[in-house]
Amino acid sequence: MNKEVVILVAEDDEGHAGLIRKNLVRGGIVNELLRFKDGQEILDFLFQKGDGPKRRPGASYVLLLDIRMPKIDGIEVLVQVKTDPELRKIPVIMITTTDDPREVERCHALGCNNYITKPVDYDKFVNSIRQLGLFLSIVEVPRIDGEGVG
Amino acid sequence: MALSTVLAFLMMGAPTVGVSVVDAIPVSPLAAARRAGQPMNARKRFIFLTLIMVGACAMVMAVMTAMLYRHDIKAHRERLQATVQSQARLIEAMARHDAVYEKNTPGGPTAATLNQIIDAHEHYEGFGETGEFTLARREGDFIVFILRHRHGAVEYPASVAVNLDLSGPMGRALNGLSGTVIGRDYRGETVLAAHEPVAVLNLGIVMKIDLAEIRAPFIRTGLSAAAVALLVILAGTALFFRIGNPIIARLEAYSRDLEKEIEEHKRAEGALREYQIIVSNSTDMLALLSRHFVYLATNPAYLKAFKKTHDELIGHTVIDVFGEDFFKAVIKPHAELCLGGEEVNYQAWVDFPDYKSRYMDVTYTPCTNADDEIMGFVVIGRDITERKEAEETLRRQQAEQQIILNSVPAMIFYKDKENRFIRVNQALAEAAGMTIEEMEGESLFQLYPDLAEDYWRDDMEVMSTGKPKRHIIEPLETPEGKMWVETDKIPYRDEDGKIIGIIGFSLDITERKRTERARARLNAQLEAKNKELEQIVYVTSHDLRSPLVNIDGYGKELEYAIDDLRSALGSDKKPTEALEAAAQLLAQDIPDALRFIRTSTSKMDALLKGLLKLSQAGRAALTIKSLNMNELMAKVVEAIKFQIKEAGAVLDIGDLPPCKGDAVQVNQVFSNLIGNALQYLDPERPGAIRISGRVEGERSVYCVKDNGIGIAPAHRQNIFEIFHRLDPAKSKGEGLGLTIVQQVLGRLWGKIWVESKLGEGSRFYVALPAVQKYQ
Repeated sequence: MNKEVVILVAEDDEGHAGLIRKNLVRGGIVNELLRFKDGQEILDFLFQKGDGPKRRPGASYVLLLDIRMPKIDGIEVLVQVKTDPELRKIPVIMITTTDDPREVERCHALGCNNYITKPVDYDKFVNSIRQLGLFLSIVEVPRIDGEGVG
Repeated sequence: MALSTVLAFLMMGAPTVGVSVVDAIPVSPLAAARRAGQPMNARKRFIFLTLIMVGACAMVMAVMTAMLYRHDIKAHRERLQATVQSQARLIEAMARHDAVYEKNTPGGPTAATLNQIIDAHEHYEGFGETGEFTLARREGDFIVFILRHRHGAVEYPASVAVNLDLSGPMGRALNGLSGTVIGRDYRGETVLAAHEPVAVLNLGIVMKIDLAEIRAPFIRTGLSAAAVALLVILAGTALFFRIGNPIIARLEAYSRDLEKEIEEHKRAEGALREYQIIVSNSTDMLALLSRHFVYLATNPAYLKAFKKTHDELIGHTVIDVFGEDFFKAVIKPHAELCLGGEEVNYQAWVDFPDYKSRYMDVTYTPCTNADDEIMGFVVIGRDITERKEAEETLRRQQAEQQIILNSVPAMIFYKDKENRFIRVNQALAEAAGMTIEEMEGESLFQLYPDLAEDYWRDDMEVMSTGKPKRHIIEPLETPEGKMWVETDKIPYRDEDGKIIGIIGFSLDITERKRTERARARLNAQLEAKNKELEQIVYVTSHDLRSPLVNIDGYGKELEYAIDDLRSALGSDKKPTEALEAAAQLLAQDIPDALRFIRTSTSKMDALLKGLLKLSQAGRAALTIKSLNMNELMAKVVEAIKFQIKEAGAVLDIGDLPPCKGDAVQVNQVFSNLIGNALQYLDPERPGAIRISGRVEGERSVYCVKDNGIGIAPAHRQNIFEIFHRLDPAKSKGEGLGLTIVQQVLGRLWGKIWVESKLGEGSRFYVALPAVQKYQ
């Protein structure tokens, strides 16, 4: 994967975020990684609002999105990203503890590019992240232009 | 009633039974006659009478004239014949004389004779108006007249052939015939002639007179007589009329009167006959009694009922028939009233010889004579036993029906088309808290003004379709409150099948209804509970899995760290490098992993404790009763007084209506809500919390209003979710407050919802069952 691509992790659980990072690194993905604690933070970043860090125009991003988060949940974030004409180009991978088929289907319908369940079984989790690394290494990540929308 | 009339009716008893009614209708023969020949009017009568008299006169005159005429003709005939014969003899004498003495005369003796005759004739032309002599001789076959004639233009008539005219008198004379004849003379006139041959001179002599001359006096006299007769007739007729008309008029008037009288008589007779038929054929028993209770007259029905003949009854008293006791007990009291002048009616059982007792309807009518004194009374007795028995049967059946109606547990009622109770049974009356008498005949619009319209609608449907309507669930107002009944309504028909109302059967289903409602509520509650549980399971599985992922993940990281340590220490690296690597692991990775593991376990513990708490809250025993919310709210505020003060907030509580619920649980609800309000106050402004309440229909609605940070629309649906926290970083608590509130309200038949504006504040509404009369 292009080294310039920034990996955005929206995950309220710090531990999960740490595990994701560690395993991506083990999988050879060493791109820049930004972590957001809830849906509000990631939306502020993407839509360039609020006081926190903001998206750089012209950069390429991949979004790893947890579903269950305080304030604004992952589904809502997915909806907002996928309804924005520019942001919708960002690949979105759902990473969640829920393996409810209805939830999976709903996310796919809303336009997520991949869906990964966080298994309690760590080996499976590692495997999933590895697969994600594989996915990230082959996916074509477009640049996101403009000053952001809205 | 006049005594004589009544007597007349009653006396004409049995013998006339069977007189046909058709015979009784009077038909006046006179009227028929008058229709057939109307009398002539005066003018016609006058002409008719005149003609008759003229005819009579004419006939008499004709007969008389004919006799006179015939006699006159005969006299003429005889005179003519005598004269002509004497003439002929005279001429013959002259001829014989001349034949002797006038032989020297020129022309001979014949001529001398003729000359003398002619000469004589010249001096005697004839007799009367038309009478004349003619004298002729025969020359060959022709008649040659010798004398000049009186008549006309011809001095001497032309010769006429003898043979040709035997009808003429001269012809007959010249042929030697002597006699008289009515025939035609030389002029063609009809004449009466006598003809005689003159033997010596071979002459014929005729003496004739015109018949017209003979007739003339008759015609004259006849005409005069006719004229006189006509005048006399006309005068006579007029006179006759003058005298006759008044007589005729009087006669006609008399005739009319007579006719009318006859008709009236017939009508009266007919009417009487009809009355007689009615009385004789009446099945009612009729009798006329004197003041002293003696039978004066009865009709056949009366006689038959008591098995008496006319003679056995008339002249006897009622005591003979009914006996002393019955007379005194029943007849006398009523009869005395009647003899006082009023009509009396009563019913009584009467014993008859052949039948059992009959129930009689008896009427006494006073009877007056010509002087208007009460002479007695008319008895009319009618057998109404069957009616009486039918009434008795009906009454008994109704009583039996009422017993049945009253002993069945269902509420039964009959209603008419005007929404009125015709009948109700005891069960309904008891339920309605009224007596049967108070309800029957009463309109439901009066009894149940609020519900009557609904009842009425079902009635109308049943009556218009003619089909029963079943299982109508409807309320009934009772003194104890609203009763729910299940009613079947069927059409109520009369004997002809016409629908005249409805019959209803109602069963008290209040208990069933209450159970049903409770069951429905329970079902709803269960459903909500199920949903809630489902959500709890869903959320919990996720939230419990999260720390598990960490525990497992960092456990594995610890293994990696141990591997790394082992390899670092056991490697051929330099000890410093190995120590550095180990120090790195010990300083960062291992404590991090341990920290995540510990955090996760305590998080799991918190979650499990929360679940336990929720479960405990859901299982707490409930004591539902009316709650004085003002008192309850005061207790809530007392308990969290300190927190309110700490938050620097102002709490304002309005007057709150009571509700039904469990005191402990409702306390919990408001404690949580006020606690939340305090927790999410806006630090920018002083907190103000207001609690108010009102009754909305069947529920009491309370509102906890704050001026805090408010809730964004996107979050509003999540706030009741278990373990959901708006901002975990800022707020304490496990995210169970509203979940518990919702659960509690679900168990108390209540409800919670929220209205909020971000940055302005929130209003949490709590609805609980209101305290009301009927439950």
